[in-house]
Amino acid sequence: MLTTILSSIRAHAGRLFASALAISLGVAFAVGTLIFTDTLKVAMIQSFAQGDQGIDVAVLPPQATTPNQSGHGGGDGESKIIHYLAPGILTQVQGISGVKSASGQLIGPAVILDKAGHPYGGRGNSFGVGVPSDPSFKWIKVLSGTRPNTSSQVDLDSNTVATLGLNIGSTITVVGKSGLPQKFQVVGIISVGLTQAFNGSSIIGFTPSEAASVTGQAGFREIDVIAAPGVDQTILSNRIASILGPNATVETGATKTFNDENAVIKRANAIENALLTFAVIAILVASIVIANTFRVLVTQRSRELALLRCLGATRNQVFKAIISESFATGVVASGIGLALGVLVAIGLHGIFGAFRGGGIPSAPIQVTVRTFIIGILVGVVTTMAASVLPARNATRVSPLQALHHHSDTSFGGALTVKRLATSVSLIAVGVLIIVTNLGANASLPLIAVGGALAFVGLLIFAPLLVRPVMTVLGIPTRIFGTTGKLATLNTIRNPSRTASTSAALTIGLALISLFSVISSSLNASIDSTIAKNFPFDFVVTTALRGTTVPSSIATSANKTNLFKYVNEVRSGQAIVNGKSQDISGVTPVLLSQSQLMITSGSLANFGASGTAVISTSLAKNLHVKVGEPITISGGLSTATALPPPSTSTVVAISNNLAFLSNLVIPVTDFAPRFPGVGDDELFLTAMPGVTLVQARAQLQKEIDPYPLVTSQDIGTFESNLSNKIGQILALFTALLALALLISFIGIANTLTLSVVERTRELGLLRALGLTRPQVAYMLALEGMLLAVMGAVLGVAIGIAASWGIVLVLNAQGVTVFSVPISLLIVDVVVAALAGILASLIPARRAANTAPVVALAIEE
Amino acid sequence: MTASQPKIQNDNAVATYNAVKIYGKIGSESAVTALNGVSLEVPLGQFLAVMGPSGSGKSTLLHCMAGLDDLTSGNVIIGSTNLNGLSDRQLTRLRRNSIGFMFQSFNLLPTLTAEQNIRLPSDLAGSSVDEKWFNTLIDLLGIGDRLKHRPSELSGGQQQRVAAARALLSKPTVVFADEPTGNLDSKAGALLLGFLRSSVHEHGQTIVMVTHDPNAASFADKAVLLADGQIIHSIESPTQKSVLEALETLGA
Repeated sequence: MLTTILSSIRAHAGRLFASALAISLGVAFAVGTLIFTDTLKVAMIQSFAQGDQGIDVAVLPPQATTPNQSGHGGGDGESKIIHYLAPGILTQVQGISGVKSASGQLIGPAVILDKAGHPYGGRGNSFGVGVPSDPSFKWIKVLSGTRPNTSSQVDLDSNTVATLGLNIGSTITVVGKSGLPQKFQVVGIISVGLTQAFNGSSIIGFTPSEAASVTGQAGFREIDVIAAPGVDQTILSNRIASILGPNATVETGATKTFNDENAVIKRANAIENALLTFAVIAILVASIVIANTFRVLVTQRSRELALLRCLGATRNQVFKAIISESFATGVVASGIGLALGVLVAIGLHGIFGAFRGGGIPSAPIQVTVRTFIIGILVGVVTTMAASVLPARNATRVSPLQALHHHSDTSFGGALTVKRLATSVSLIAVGVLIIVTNLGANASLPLIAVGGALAFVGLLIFAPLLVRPVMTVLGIPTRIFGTTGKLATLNTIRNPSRTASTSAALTIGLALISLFSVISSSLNASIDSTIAKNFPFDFVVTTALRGTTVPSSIATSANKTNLFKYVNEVRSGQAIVNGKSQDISGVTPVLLSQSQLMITSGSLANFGASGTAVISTSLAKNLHVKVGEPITISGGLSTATALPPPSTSTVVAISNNLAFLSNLVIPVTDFAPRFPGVGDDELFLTAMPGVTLVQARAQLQKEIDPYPLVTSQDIGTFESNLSNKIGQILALFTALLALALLISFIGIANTLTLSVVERTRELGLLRALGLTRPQVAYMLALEGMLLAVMGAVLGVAIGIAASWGIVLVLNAQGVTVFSVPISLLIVDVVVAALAGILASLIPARRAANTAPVVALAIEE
Repeated sequence: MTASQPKIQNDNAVATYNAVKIYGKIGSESAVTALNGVSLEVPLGQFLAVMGPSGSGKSTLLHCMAGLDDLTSGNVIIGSTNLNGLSDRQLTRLRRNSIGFMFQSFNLLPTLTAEQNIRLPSDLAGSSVDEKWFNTLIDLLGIGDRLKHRPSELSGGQQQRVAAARALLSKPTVVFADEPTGNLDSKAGALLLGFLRSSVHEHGQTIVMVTHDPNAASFADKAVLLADGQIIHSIESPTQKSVLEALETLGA
């Protein structure tokens, strides 16, 4: 029996090639993801290991008290409060017996200006650090040159040096907390082991005291301790902990390394899961392609299978033969997939690097045994699972078919009551799940399940759509005369094959149009939010995360009398009723100008000291109503201590605070708790009678001394936000590209198989006078029709699904449902062209059919 | 077995009793009666030719006798087994052990060599091959030097002789041959028919052959003529002449 199977695979290897390729690509995506994230983990762990190297005890800021943090998935107040260790603690640690030396890690905002005077790296990609003078603290290693000795000397990381074309001896301009440019001389090149390593940030190393002055950061992220000889890590760690008490968290070097590695792995796993979702989509599409191939192969070989049955093969043997064939296909395809996976990993590294706007750390490519096993398993199991149904169909081939002299073409996909019932009930259940989960208590996972059910139902129903859809789509092909008519009819002759071929593409396009519609709706919502809520002329922001717009700009802008409103928005993190919470401080008049949806209370009462506006979700979370007090503690630690707790009264609750935090207090209350913090944004409106040109010029003059601060007209501000959403859409599309490629391979595959099947018929058409180009046109039109059907169906599903999601996200501020019609039309047209491209190889084969085969091949 | 079924004739390789096959819904206008009460006993060691014009039901009779199609009413008995009510599994076992097939279009698996094709049924059944019988068959058929070739490298006559070896290797109770010479030239056809005849007379094989060729029928021990689903003539030791005469009366 084994010889029969093996010789069969050899003979059909060509026909299996395309579908094996589909599986290979799916496996490659999964394997690439694992390789990429494993490599990332190693790179990040290496980066941490550098920071933790040789450290006996690490002193960290006290853990924020966030009792609600676990068990509350991704809601309000998730963001961690970053505390700093006051400089006094370093002195205290240095004095503890058993401590040989101690050094604080000082990290804060600072950025280099490039030759054009623009900040290099953009938002959040640049930091200033204090380089310890003692080389035993290895979180900063000097690769060449020296450590900064004077306040005018700096070290730079190797990436930045290379990118900006700098060298030791170069003079650079740096902007820090003050917002004012300063000149420094580069004296060394360093590598830094940091949590931010993933961002590929630009790092500027100052002397510790200069670092504090440039970044405005007095406290330390971490204090590293090296024990005196003979002093045990654990004993020293306990001693330091008992002396520092609640002001710090103290860990041994070993614990710190362990915790850091866990944090890295957790972070990499989150990326891995997101990417694997796309890998699963690619594999799903590939499994549709392979199921299709096996179904066609079984049909084409029904005569051979019938003969085997005649000669005494049991149904079980036929089933096993098909499954063994799929097993072998799966093994080969997975093997190829493993190899391709390395390329995918490199590609993902590139995509993420580009998306992150900076390099991401790299390490030697990591191919683990886990990756190898998962890759093979995924490929083999998917292939075998996809061939189970075709194999079952194969067992139903009657032995009698071996005696028939003509193999009859199967016209599958008939509408049975069972099929219709399954389809309708799946769609009904899916839609029901979605509808019942819409609204305030929306659960996205359940909606996804509902969507998946409805989608499967639709796929079962799809063969029924083939005839009407193709009849309509076929109308334009009439300009090709008989060729077009034949092409349309060919797509209708086997509706279930047509449907499942298009279905592979439908999945990809449904997701792309889903993302397109949602991002378009997001954009439209932002536009309308900004237009409605912030009817201002200018927005002033800063280009470096961690820095703010100096408050002096607001003050002097007010003095010019050119602006009717100068509204400030500041933000920080504090603890509200014991829970970590983002908090906004605003100029009170900003809220009354904005059309925020107030559900209870009134904005009229907001503005006096001790008043607060909160979001409905926070109100629910904290169980507070209008008129009730909330306690705010924490804030920005100064060199000495945290500000004391204070009480505010909730005066209004809003459904939609736009991009303000869930807790809003007057800027006058905010300032004392967050001393020295400037504005995130300034929203300005020109005085009546003052032209925009005049106002803009004045504003430019105010911000001119601060290279990081930029002023934008409100329209530019909107389009910048849109650009960000566009980038995310581009990332999604890039990640779906492989699934799309696989579905087009599926189209090429189906066409090739049907050309093989129709050899006699093609010969007959040639004998009857169809020219070679006409045969090729016919196949091209078939490919196009298949692609357009899949694409149109996908776009329709995508629009429907995104409509549901937009309804759900209404509470989150996505208030406008906007369909990017031209973009979706482009998608369909591109799909049509790709369908024609997919037909090239099968069309060539079909066109080469000699008329004589119509008579020659009897079986 | 129920009492209503006829007594089994153990000296018959295959027999049908009152075989009726109606296609389509009985009583409806589209119903076609392919077999209309055919009773036929084929004793062990007989070479029987089934003849008749197109649409006479000869192919249907072959399908039903071989258990590939089921009767509307009546019985088919192969060896001592009544085919009525057998499951797919039981029918498969019967095909493996008791039936050999030959087809007009040879039906060799294109991917297997001649020898692999011959051994395929035993491979499927997982049974051992009588190597002496295998060698005898190869010698008789003169295909010893063709065993490593694939079907595409063989002439039609050679292919059909490979198919004959495949059918006979397991010494089945009966071999059903469906127009085995239909795709062969007269010389290759005569060679094959001579072999089939000698396998019956010298090795006791039973063969039921459907053919429309009077010359082919003349190699058989007996010929039956079918028309409109019924046996209308039965000729012992047929010759080309006697068969032609019988066919002419049919036409008249």
